Amino acid sequence: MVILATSDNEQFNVDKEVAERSVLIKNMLEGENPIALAVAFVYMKLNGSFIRHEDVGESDQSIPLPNITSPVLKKVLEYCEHHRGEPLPSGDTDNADDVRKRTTDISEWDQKFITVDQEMLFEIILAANYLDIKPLLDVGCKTVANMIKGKTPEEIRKLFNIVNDFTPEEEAQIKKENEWAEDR
Amino acid sequence: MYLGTHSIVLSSQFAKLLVDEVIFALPEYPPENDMHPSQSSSSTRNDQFSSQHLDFNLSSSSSPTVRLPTKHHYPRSEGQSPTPTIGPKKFSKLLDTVLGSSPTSKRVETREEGFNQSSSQSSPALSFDYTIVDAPSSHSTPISCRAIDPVSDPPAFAPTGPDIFATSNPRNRRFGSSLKRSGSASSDILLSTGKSGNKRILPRFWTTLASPAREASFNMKYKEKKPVESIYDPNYPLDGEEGELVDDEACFIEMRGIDILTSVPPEIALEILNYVDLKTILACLAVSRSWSILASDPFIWRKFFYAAGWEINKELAFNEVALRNSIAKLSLSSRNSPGRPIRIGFLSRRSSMYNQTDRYFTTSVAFQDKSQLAPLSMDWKALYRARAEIERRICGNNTLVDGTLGDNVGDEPKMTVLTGHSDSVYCLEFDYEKIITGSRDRSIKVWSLQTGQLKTTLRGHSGSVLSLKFDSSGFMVSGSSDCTILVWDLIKGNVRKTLSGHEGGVLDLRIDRQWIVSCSKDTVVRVWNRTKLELHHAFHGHDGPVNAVGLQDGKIVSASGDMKIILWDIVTKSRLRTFSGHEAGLACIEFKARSYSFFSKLSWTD
Repeated sequence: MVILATSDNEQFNVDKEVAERSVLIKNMLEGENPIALAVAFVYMKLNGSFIRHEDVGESDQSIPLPNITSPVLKKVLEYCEHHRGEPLPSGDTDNADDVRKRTTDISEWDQKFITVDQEMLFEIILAANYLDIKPLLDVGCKTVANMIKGKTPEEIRKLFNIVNDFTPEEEAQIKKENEWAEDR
Repeated sequence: MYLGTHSIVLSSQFAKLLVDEVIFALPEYPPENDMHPSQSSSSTRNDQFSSQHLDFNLSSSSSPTVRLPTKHHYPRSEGQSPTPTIGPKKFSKLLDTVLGSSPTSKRVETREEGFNQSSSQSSPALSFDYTIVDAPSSHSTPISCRAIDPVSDPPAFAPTGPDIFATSNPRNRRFGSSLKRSGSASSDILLSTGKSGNKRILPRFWTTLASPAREASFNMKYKEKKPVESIYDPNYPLDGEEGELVDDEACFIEMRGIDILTSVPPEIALEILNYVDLKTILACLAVSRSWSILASDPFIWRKFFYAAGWEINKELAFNEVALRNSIAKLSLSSRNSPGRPIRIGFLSRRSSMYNQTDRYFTTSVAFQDKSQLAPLSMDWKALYRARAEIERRICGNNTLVDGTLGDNVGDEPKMTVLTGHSDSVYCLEFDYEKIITGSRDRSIKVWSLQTGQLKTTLRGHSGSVLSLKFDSSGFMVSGSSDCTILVWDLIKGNVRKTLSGHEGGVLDLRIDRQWIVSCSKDTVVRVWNRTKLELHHAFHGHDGPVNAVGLQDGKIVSASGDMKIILWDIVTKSRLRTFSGHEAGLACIEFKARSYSFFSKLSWTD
């Protein structure tokens, strides 16, 4: 078991297998990647969690996750739990092929899982990025992409509560700039 | 009372705390007899739920789920009409989160009625929830103050409320409630923290700033409820039915968005944009300035470029990038001066979000190793656009797919007729600024490429001008049926020298840095030294008029009416090879650089 401590001082006892969906935690536990370890260490130090180097990886010590709150971690762990045992994606998948064809398909369970409010979605994306859970980050990114897809600028602004900070002249110019692609 | 469409998202813990506070602070609940008329129909059921709810809170440690019978008991006012945009599930979440909202709201109402009878009568869409978390207004201030901080004196605290809530940024307002909690003194500290940092700081902040009594109550309510080592249970219901999780998410009074794209790190934002199609990217360009910067990123446009099946000359691209990087490094300091405003996509790609030049440099090096994709540092948006435009013109010739003529007439090729010669035009050369023509009227005319105006007329030949060549230095040669070649200075507009020797009309000319090559009807190819303007050598070998020559790296090819092509070497003054095979006289030849391949074309059959 691994103990994860969130920023709001909650602790989660998690199966090692589940926790290791996070590459960050995996590396910390294994100590395989000294760079990741150092980065995590510095990061925590900066965030005010004073841990000693040797603390990391000891099973009776908690791993502090100083920029994740308990509700977010709970949600992330739910994801990790469901996908436990699945092979972790290999590091170098984003090559030319990946650039060319990309789908925004999300599996049914993930779809249901990610049906949360925007605040939570935002936090999940940040947490997945921080914890280095690539599949979850992908799900989050795809979800946001799907939210944007096919919308007009005005609809996007409304969706994300964005203020249009273009001047009318700039807006007219953008419209003109975009004309070239309209018949494509 | 209610501030229009503003959204207040309250950190869940605070919602809970507030709510607990309210519940415990108001033990004399419930004085429900003087309910508002518009709510009287539901009052009984509401009360049941409320008291149940209250019991739960006092007795059990887990958060109970309480559902409202119907939505309209808690009307949300948008403008003045209730808008049921929150689904039943969401609403139960909401209720869970606000927990004690029923008793509180009643409390508010009763207070109000004691306070100001007419005010509550005139607002039929009275929103309970906002009294807890939304901006305090004149008549609800006392109760929200009380709910938030029972220790402080309500009237004394009241004036600070509106100021704190007055901020127009919804992101800040989200933390407005916490400001209120910790007192107005901390407002600048909290507001100065970063976007996403705010929320995380809150628990600590609140613990440090709260009074000892509050801290004690926090520990009591929170710590004991969740044991220090709570076992994570994978089977724990997570769909919001068990209030706790939802509690912790956030308290959504109204579903309003946060600008996720510009709140996440740029690399994630690009990842997101990488999933959307071209049409959406174009929409993103017009959303806001920061969106425009993100949506203009070469990373995205390179994807579109390749997705369209286009390729790019990588060798040239890498060379150009290497050159640009060296320039960019020199001017980097001046360009990224602080205080320079962010300019949007079509003005400049530079953004303050990240140092693009450095990023480009590293990526281009990385890709050079893989040699799979062209470097990212090029303006892929412009490249894509140019390419798309070219394709549209070539394929469509401005005719759209359905066969109709496109409406942007400005893109159609325009024809400008240059008139001035009094007889047939035999030859033409042009560069970026001028067109030069030679005519049977024995004159050479120089035209402006931009305006089409005649700039000057050069006279000197006594026969038709059959061929001419010039270069950017102003050096021009012209060959004529009068058997001479005139060497011109285009800048001065005069003839530098007359090269004579041919015994027939000079049919074609070529120049490079060293040589002038001419061919003639007299079957001879002559090579002249460009600097000295003297004959270098006359190549004999053809049996018919030499119609065309090519010149490349000291080698000459000549195409003749005798159906032969001969390759000559200038330096050794020798014939290297004869190509035969054409079955008629040759009219033109092209001798291309680099590949040393040349193609001759049969054009007349005699």
